[in-house]
Amino acid sequence: MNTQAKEHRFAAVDAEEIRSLAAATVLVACVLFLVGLGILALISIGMGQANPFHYPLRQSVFVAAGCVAAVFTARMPAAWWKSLLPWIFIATVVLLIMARLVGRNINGAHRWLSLGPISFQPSELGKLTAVLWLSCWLSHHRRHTREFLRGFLYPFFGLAAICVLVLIGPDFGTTALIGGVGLILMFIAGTRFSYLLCTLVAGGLFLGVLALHDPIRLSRITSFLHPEKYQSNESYQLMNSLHAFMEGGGTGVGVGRSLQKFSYLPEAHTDFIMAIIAEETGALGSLVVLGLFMGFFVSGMTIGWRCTDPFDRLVAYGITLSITMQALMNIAVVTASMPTKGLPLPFISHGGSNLVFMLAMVGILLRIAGGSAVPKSAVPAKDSRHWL
Amino acid sequence: MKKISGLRLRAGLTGLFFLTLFGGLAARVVHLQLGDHTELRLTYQRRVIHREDLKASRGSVRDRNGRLLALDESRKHVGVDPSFIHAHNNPQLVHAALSRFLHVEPAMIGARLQETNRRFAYLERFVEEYRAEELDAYLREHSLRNGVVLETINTRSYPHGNLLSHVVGFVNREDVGSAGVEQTMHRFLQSRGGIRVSEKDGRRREMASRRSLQIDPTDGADVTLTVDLFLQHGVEEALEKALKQYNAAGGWALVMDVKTGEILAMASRPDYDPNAFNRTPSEHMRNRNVTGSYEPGSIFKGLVFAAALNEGLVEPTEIIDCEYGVWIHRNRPLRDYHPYARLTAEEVLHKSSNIGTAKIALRMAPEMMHDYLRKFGFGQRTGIDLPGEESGIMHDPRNWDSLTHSRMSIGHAVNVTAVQMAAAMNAIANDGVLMRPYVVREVRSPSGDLLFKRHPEEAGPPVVRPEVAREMRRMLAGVTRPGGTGRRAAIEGFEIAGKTGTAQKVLPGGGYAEKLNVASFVGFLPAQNPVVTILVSIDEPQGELRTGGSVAAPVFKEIAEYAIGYYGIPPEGF
Repeated sequence: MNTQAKEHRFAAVDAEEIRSLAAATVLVACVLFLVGLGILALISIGMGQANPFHYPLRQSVFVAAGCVAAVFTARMPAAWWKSLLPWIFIATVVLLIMARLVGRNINGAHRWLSLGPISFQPSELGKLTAVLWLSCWLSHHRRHTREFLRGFLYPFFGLAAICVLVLIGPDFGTTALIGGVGLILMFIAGTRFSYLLCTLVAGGLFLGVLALHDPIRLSRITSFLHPEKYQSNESYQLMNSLHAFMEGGGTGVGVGRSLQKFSYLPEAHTDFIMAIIAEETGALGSLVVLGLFMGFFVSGMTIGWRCTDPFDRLVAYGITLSITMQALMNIAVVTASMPTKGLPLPFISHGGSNLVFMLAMVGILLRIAGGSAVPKSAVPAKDSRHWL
Repeated sequence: MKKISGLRLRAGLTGLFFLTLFGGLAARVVHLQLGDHTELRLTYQRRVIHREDLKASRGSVRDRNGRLLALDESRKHVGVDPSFIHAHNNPQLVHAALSRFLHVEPAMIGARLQETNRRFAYLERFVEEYRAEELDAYLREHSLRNGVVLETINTRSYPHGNLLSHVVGFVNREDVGSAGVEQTMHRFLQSRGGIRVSEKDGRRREMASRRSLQIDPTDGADVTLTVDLFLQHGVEEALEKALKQYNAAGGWALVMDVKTGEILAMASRPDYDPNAFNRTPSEHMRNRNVTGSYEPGSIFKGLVFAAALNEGLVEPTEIIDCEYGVWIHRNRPLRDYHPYARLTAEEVLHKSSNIGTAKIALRMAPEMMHDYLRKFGFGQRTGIDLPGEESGIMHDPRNWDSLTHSRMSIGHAVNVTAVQMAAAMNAIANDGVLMRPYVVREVRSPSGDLLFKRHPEEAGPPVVRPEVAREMRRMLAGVTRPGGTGRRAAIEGFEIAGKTGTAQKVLPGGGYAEKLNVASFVGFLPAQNPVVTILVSIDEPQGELRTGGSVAAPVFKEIAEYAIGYYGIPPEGF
């Protein structure tokens, strides 16, 4: 890099960008804390089990893979994403269909694709694809977002396609997450609120009717409403989760001293990890986790707020909302504040594809945070949005 | 003011909305963790708290040589989980396997297995350990074990069954001793259960690292009896044989050590198997040696005679007029079984003359005779360590009617228990000293420490002087010699002292039964230096000969032969 370019960079760092970089620092700190907390929680869950370091070690490998992915995505310019979007979209659709047809069946849902030793959940990719699709479309047509067709219907079709494919998984939780984040993103981009409201109501009714025809979903909802009456499976776990929170009290039973991890919460290391953290570290620990997610949310939103590129800022909002909403939904489920959904807690829950995708998305956020520091000359001159 | 773009405004609104969600969740979390949740705490305790009773074994009961009479044994309750077997096992094969090893109707097993909505049903309780192990091994070998439940329990076992059942007793289903020594020594025998409070994991397994309270259980103490099982076996066999031979309604016999009062054997008929106490009529459970009182008849005469002799009111050689078999006393005839004209006092005893005995007894004042009989232990419990002892009935002289004095002297108008009678006779054998009978020798803790040791106990000062007792033994030895009523009790080479008795039974409405009687023999040996006292009574023997001399004396002889072997008593002149 020549001296001229260096000077150019320093000159470009203005107050806005410093705030953006500060937000990025906070974001990275929050993510690192959450990931570290996750590994500690997995070590604690391992204590007293047959193979104590199984999950922490695997998680560490995934964290490393996620960091590599983040470094990779942090270097990919927006144009690259835009030009690849059609292929990403097609890949998402194909993988989701494959998951339904040949995927591994876990708890009655075909969500997993096995690629040798690695299992991969295409619905994770669906989250990113939906955000990229909406951001790309709505930023390109940012002058026409109040229109019905260009501002609502066309972007909605793309979103709905992904949602339907995730839904046939069947994966109600991720469907609701992708749909919810998509609608909020459209709202921010400027789609008319009335359209979105109608869609929300229609989508909610649709999911509700589907749930009533599915005994597993229905039992999840009825057991959510009356956990004490259903002593098996879903409500059994839910009650155990509540017991964990209750036992945790103010400062917890002590790290490594959780009781609920002993076969009470079969998904202690994934979906119900928050309950174990709450049991071992009490309200103090729960609030720290909530606080870190709030820090992540605020800094992520700040990055979007500071960003001037129409595509990037929507991507930043979308990624931040997507991760935050998943965290909120997970915590709401384990505290019996909403019906059970099979959603892991971002950064903390043990899980391969989920963690790698989360960190990759954080990489994109970081690129956006530093994006305005990148000289315009670094952006390819070629307009890659020819397909829109 | 800088104008905010529409997009930033909407992003800001979204941010606020999410911050509200954060706040709500934080409130929810804090409420859950710091709030008061009584109902949640209840389900938590139901799910998590592990409470377990820790069982211990009840002490054992052994005979004086350490042979086991009662012990706690591990058994298995066999049950099934019909719904699980239908879901995860092969009901037909399980049914076949269970039918093969369990002692219950295959149809019943089939019916239980059909109840697929149930999660548990017992098939057979108290299955012996070996049978449960065979079943378990078979099921595992054929991979049919899932859904079959084997529950270990401690159960009381009496390896000798009916033998000595009245003394040993039994333990009821609540583990409380309910008869015999099991009842009287319950406080020593009982185990003290422990408790464990802990937590269990999600699969309901107790977690050793999370125990909050553990009180270890204590095994019960072991009781050793004075009874010798071999001698007991001989007594029961002899009694059983006589019962069969005379088709009798019942019978009882006991063997007592002269010097100590230890009960060496005690049998009662009808009897029962304590392993099956719940299928036994309660009448069979009565130990008639202590809970049954009866009019003893002529076996009582020796004691009256001893009293008169002690007071110097009779000489063994003096002549008594026996009135040719009928004596009108106070306007009522008193009869002898065989009429005699004149007999020496000694012969009165040998021939068991009612008239002669009554005449001697009448030489004593009523109070005097009553006082002696009282000192011999009648009308009060002996204090034997067996439950339900009766005191018998012996009225105070103030309540006697005109005939009580003469009738009591020949063993009527008085009710005694067998153990009273044997103890009183034992006093003659023991130089006039009445010993308190007992069956428990000692109690030891599971670790072997002596907790209780019974020492021989004199029930009171000597009832008669030693030389009177010696004279009585000499005279009673005549009973088993030729011409005496008890000659069938004689054993060649041994001098045996004793007294026969044939008591007519009192009818429930009053008066005496013509044909129903109790034939008894009580005595000791060797006559001059006694070591063992034996009593035999046969209740309601049938047949022509129903007297004590013909029915009870041979049983006495048989038991005495066992006792000679047991003590190693050398024959006369050795």
